[in-house]
Amino acid sequence: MIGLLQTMRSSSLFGWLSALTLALSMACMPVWAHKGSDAYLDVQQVEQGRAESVSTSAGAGTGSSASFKLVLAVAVRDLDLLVPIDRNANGQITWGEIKVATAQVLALLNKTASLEMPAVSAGVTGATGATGSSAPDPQDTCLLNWQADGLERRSDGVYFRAVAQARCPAGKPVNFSYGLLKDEDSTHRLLVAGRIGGQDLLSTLSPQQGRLVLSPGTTGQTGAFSETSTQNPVPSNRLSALRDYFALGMHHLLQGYDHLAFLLALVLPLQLSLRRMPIAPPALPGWAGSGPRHAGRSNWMALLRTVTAFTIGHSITLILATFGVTQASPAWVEPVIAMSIAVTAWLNLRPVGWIRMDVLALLFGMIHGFGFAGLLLEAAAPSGLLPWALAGFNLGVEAGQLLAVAGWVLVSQALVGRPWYGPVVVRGGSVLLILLAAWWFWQRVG
Amino acid sequence: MARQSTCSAVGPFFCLFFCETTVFCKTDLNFKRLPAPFTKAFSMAASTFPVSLKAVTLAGLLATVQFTCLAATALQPLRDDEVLEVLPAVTRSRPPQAVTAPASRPAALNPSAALKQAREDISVARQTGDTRYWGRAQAALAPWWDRPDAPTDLAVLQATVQQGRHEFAASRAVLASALARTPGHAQGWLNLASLERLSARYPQALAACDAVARANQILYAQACRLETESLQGQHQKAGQGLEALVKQTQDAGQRSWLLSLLAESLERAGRDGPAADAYARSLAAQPDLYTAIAYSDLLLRTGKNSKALQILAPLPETDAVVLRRAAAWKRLGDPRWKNERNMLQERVDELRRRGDDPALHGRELALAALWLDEDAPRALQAAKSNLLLQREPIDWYAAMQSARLAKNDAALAEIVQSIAAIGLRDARLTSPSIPAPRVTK
Repeated sequence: MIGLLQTMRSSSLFGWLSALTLALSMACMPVWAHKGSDAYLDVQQVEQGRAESVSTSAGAGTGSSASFKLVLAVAVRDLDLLVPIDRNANGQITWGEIKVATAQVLALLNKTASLEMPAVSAGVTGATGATGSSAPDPQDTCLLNWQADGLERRSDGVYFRAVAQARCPAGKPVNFSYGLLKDEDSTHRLLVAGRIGGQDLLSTLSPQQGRLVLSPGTTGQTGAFSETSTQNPVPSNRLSALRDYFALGMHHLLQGYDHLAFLLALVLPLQLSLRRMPIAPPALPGWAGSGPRHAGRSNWMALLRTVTAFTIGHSITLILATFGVTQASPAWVEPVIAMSIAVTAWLNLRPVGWIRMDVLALLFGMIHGFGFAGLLLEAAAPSGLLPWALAGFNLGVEAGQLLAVAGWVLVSQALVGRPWYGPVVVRGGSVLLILLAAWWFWQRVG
Repeated sequence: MARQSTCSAVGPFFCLFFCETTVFCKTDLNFKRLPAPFTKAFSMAASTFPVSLKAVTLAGLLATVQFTCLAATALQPLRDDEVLEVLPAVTRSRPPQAVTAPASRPAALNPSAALKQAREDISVARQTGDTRYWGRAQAALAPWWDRPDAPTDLAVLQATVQQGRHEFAASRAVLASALARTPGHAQGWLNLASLERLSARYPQALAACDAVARANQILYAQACRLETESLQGQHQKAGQGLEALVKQTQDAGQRSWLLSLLAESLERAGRDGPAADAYARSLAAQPDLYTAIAYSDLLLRTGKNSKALQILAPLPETDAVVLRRAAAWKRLGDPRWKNERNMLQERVDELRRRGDDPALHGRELALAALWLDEDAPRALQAAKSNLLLQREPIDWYAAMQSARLAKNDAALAEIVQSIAAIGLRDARLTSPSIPAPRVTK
């Protein structure tokens, strides 16, 4: 809301936007390597039937399996040390050279980034015998066969990405073994993230001690523990998820002008005075203020009801969308959000008696909630932390909303009670909001 | 980069609402942050608003986390001849047979092969600032690493790697043990002398320089002495001596090195003009990353920000380079400095993520707080802990400036006292051109 009136001056608007897009593209430009050599591994235990629970002893004898999906990214600069990617040795690695070297790179990864099933204890061997009939040779599939998965750019250069899936017999210990660059770079690290056995995983491996326990077998605990690194236990993450997503929610509301514009459209006709004075007369005869649209006695109550309704509305859809109950495509949500601003502002100009603003705020809030949800899903909260992330995000949105409304109340102190508040602030502001929303609508549909 | 092209194709508004969501990275559980441009845009907007509005905006901004972009961006090259990565010189000189026989580095227990490989890696690490080459050098030395019976040549290279990674104490210990076994190892003594200078232990540095002379490396021994004496305030003697050494040698690398010593000595003497000339001559003789950074420091200190940018432009983007470029941009009012600031923070985060200690880069942390964040108390704190690690003139300079700006007279007095106690004489640390200290006891 704060930036709103200002942004409508097109010169500053475009200056702002171009600075923003320019800065965005610059922020993602490649930079020189400034840290040691890192590779990145994402491990996910894929839900397959009851796959999530197979690493518990209950699943051991049922012939079920544990599926893992691994995505590994290794710097091209590092790979060139092991595989002569730069074939013509001119110091420049081209896309063509990478394509030619891909088979060799994958063979190297198959050798140096693999699954191993260590010798199992007697008790577990017995269990294997029981599963033998249903899965003749489960080892066949408990292998990583890396496939090229494109390239990606990270802060220190271009990375080769490979993906592999493996299905391993449940209840047996499975380790991920990593020895890439073991003899070539003593400070190489594998940064691991992911989710295994219902637990979030975050660890760092060195090739010298490169073993990650994907499944400890029936006798061990579920979950993954790296021998060489610290694992972030879930509980300690909850608070940080709450905090991080609180910030995210607040940030999103405060810099999402469309939400702010909608709030402004809602509160514009309310003359919110901090001074003790009789309730201001309606700004224009027969309209706003104490009209039927805000049936409450005071504008403050109307404010409370409207903002609360908006909150309830977007909380409902945010929660539903986050848990996957409903889905909404940004293709229609974003234009409708723009439309909601225009409609609300139009009602400030041409009130319709039977439309209650708080109900309107509730309905449109539900649309805005889908907008928030898109962001939250993109931010990829680990599913174990989702309730915390959601709570944090929602609280953050509320905090941002309160801050914005408080800001408006402060600013409007200079305006309330003036005879021209109605025609200038409410009507003028609403017209500008309609224009802005129309422009947004056009942008989002086009 | 798919994201950005989507953005530009769909239009700025769309970009605003969608790029924001896509910049978030799913690479690990650390919540990645949005780039500062968002907050920058906010503060830009805020600057045009009334004060009350500004307060509200700022409050909102402060309450949100600084968002930065650590994303992995998908890359889809279109043409086969598109160059995706440029390798440093060492790989360019890969022997041709490597093309047919991939992998496997030189035979494991061959000291001379290890020596050659480690030297190459060290030289690339120095010239490019690409830290991974320190790790590669360590791997080449692995069979002898930390072994008390390692050949002295290899132990000295280990110490060099450790010094390069700012592991100064470990480096000194390895050198001491190697030099006890082989007291005639000139390179080892030179390394030790530079460690001693870096720790502001000038008498010990001079003793190491003398040992270099005993090993019959006269030119290096002289340069070593002159550099140390210049730190102790014998500026004139050092200047003349180094000039004479420069005239003696025709080797470009040596000339460049000696001229950089001369330049630093002149700068300590307070002769900024001749010092700038000497830096320029050194770089003309042979470009060098450290010399270029030292030169840019002089230019930044004397307010020649555009010239500093010119010197920094061709350099690899090490933390030191990014920091100085950001400082120059900031002073010139170029908003790009904020991106650079962000990038530096992002790098600190990346170091932590891989388990490295960012405190080893204490100098850059302190200077970033001082120059970019203008947070003098934090800069002072960082500069003081950095002084426990390294004590070169610029480290004292950072500490003094921070103490002055933080108006921390006690800290300033303590720093002034320490400088006097170690016997460092440097015009930059006494010059009245920088805000005068309140305390001159």
